[in-house]
Amino acid sequence: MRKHWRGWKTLAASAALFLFPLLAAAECTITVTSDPAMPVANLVKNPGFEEGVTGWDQFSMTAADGVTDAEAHSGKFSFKLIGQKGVNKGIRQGRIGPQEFNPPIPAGTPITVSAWCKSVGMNPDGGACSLSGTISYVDGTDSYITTPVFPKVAHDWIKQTACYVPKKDVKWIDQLYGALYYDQAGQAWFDDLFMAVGKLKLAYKVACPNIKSVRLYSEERGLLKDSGLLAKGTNAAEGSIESPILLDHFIVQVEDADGNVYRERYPKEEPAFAKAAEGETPLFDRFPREILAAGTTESYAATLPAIPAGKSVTLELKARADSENIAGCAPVLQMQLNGKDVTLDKLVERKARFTFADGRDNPVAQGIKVFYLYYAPNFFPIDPQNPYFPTDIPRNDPYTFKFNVTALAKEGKNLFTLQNAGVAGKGSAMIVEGAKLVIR
Amino acid sequence: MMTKTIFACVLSVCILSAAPQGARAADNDLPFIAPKTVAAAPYTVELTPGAAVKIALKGNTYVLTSEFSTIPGWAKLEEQAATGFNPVKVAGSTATAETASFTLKREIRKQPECVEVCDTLTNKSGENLPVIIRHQARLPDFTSFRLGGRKIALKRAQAAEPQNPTTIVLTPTGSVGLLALDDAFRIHVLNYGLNGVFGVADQNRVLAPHASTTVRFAIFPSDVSDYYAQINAMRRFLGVNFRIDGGFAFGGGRVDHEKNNEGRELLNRKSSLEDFKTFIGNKDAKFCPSSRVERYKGKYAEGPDWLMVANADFYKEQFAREKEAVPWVQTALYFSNNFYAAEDGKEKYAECRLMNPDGSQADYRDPNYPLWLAIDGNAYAKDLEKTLDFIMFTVGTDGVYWDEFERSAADYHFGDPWDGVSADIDPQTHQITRLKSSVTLLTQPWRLKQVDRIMAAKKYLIINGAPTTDSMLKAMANYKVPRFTETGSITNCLGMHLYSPIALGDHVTERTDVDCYRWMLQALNFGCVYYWYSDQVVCHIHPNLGSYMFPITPVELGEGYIIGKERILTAKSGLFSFGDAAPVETHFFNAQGVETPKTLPTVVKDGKTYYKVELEEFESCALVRKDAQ
Repeated sequence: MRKHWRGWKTLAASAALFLFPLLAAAECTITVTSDPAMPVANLVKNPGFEEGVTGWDQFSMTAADGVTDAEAHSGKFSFKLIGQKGVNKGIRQGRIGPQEFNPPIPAGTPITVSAWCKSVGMNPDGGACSLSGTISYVDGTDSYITTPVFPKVAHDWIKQTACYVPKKDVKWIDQLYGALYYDQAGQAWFDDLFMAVGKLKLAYKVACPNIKSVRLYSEERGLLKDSGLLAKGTNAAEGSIESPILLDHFIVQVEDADGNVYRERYPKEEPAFAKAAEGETPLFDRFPREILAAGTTESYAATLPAIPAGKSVTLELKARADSENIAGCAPVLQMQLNGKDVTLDKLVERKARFTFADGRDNPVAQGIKVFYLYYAPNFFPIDPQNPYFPTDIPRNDPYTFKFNVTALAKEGKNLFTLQNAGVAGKGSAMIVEGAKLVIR
Repeated sequence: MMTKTIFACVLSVCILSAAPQGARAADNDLPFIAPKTVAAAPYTVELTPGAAVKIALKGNTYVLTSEFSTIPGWAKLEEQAATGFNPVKVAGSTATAETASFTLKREIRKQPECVEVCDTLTNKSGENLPVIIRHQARLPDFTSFRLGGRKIALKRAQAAEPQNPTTIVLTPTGSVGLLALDDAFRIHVLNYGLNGVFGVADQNRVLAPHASTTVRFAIFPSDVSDYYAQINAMRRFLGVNFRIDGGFAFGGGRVDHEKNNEGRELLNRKSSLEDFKTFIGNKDAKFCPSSRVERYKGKYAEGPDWLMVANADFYKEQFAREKEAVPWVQTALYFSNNFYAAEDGKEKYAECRLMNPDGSQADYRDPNYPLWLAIDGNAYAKDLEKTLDFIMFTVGTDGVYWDEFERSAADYHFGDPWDGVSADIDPQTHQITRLKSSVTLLTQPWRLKQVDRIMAAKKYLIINGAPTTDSMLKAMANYKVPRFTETGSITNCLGMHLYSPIALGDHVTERTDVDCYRWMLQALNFGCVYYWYSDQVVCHIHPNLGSYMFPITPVELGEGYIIGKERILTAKSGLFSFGDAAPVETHFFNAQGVETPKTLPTVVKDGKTYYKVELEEFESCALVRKDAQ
């Protein structure tokens, strides 16, 4: 059982317990189940190349391409492809899953594919760095399915997921091209491929005295379900969602009338939080990144040690507005620390304005407290030939923000509030990673 | 995209402006800055055998080739020969050529600082003829380039900025500027740079059946490798260095005793005479339009619907108090020609709707505010004329402030009437995808008429936004109508480089008079003077830099300064001269915008007196000719 700052409790639960409100003990039981149970079986054989190339055909390889232990997202191995101009190379696996689905996959059933990829030295004008796949329908026709595509810029390990919903009944999944590197430069590594068919039905039940609210979070998608404020005296709640099967993690979070918060992770494994360096206090403990829909607010608590005299406290984070492509920026990010706005005058290392590569000038904030975030699909460096490339931001990194919040922070409990200032229902989701308070 | 001039909610804010050039430099680092002696550029120009334009200037040679789309393929005028034409005949400064679908007559006119190229295309057919037009030069040794005035840090880029329709390329030994000239070319303009090839294109031109059109552009060769040298040459060619008479600030028009978020009363007709004097006087606002926009049935009424609620006596009372407090102030009211939000619009102005490609009516990003076309003679235009009459004659203002003059939130109208020159053209097949009409071109005849009317009534006119057509630019310059750009992004100042270089303050971030002063310095970074925006800001500093900005007749713009006949304003260190030895009074401003006595040393060089201006961050200086007082 993981201990948190007072008021936060995580309980292991496998069966529902019915608690009478007269019981003195503040026991809270959260049960999460899914169909299929998670982790869901992966239709891809040898998805992480831990068995070498078993199960994979290769084409247009050179001696330098292949399974390598020099890089890996998980396990020991990944598959490396070296870019060659004019050469389309890759690996494929035929007949994913059974030889034939019996009964066929009904039309409307999502087919989900995801993979991890890392690359260096890519040519933005070169060919694809992606996956591909084909399916055959019961009526004898076939088609490509939507599969992950990776950005043509250098990037660390990134996961891309794609979901395809066939309009006709599917007889079999012909093949999955697990790594494609077409007419490229540099090199790319692929790892941890995943494919699943169908929907995930996830359900949760809560038994807790005086439940104030119940929320379901996903690491991939943010807040999925919110009960809102429940009536006083609510001691039980339940909910469910249905979605394509993704490699995802969930948290059911319950808050009671006294402000105590309880969580249950599903599946139970803890996500990989970055290790905090000395002087750093991470602000996120739900997932390494937070996803806030437009118009929503989330709060996070953190305990700071005593702040030595002469030291400063910096709030640091990376943030973007989620988008398929780099597409300019919008006023999205708004924050408070202990109830006080984090304002423009506290921004450090960056100036109040910056310039795109196409010569346009932009403010870093709208007014003093809503900060412009880049529309971007990830936090990786922007191609200097992209018109939105920021020419005069340190390290050309428009995602990182640092604020001197010494005047706002305090020893002990601190409450950090994030707000997506976009218009609810219209604006993009805000992705925030690595939020922390740093004493130095 | 121009934004409406409306009052914003107040937030307390402190500007963290990027500092203009102001670090102290050693004497021998300070540049000598004086108006350049304007002389005809010693270039030679010829039409090559292929009817391309070849210019030679001090060892540099520039060859401008041209391409015209045909169906299929292209017809090209190149250095050695023309292709796709049958045949090309070159005779001195003219050339003729012909394709299966159109004829071309080219004429080059040598001007003091540029070559004007006039291509008259005539449609030989009885069908609409699409023609994609590109004029470009290969300059592989370029050091930097700007499109629409913006400095580009990319290998390939394009810009579509009709207010600054320029491609300017700097090389180690000079520069070349391309400037689109005729109305349709400016509206359609696409300035581009692609791996060392730079050009200006019109990808939307259509010739009506049997119609002719003259596509005009100018080439500015220079032995000076400087963007502002190019811009100043273009300004001289366009004749836009006219006198800007006085300062400007929005003021008044608030409801009685209206307060801002901080509890301070905003200027209104019940304000004291002292408040009027402070507000208008400290901003030196000779031109002080009331920007109040009223509502009709809950919606902003900025078109003919305003007359349903407008109260002439309300404004008369305010303007009477303004004049009592500040006799020299010139009053005006807000006018806009794009809006009508009342419910009966669709019936009343059925033929005046501005249409989207999907058949819906365009709006101001809000369906409550549909957009309309004021075309000479239509119902909407006629009712707008009544609004202008109300302003000029019923209320009896001294002038008109016209917002979003060239167009509003939609560039094109997709429906009747057609402007006769515009279409979407498929870049592969070169066929017309669909006809469309420039809102600017459709409404231009009516707007020109109204400008004539306003001038005939001896009213002043101030406009939001730069001219985007040659016709309007000439008319405006003739009348000396000041126009400004809003500066939510300070690089918008680039859009004023080919007209009156005026930056309107940034109402979003300006909260104090010091904020406004520092924004003046940002504007000077682009060679622009400053008009006050937010009526939420009362200026307590007087005199301030703005007090010495007008009148000004621009002579040269530069990065960090502007030289006028009457005065030089600078936010950058240097040795400044008017180009003669005339006596000058100097005004120095500290980082808070407060005038601080300071004697400036002088240097005489080549018969010119230079004033040594050394500035730290956020400091500035105004040099005013004593004989211009």
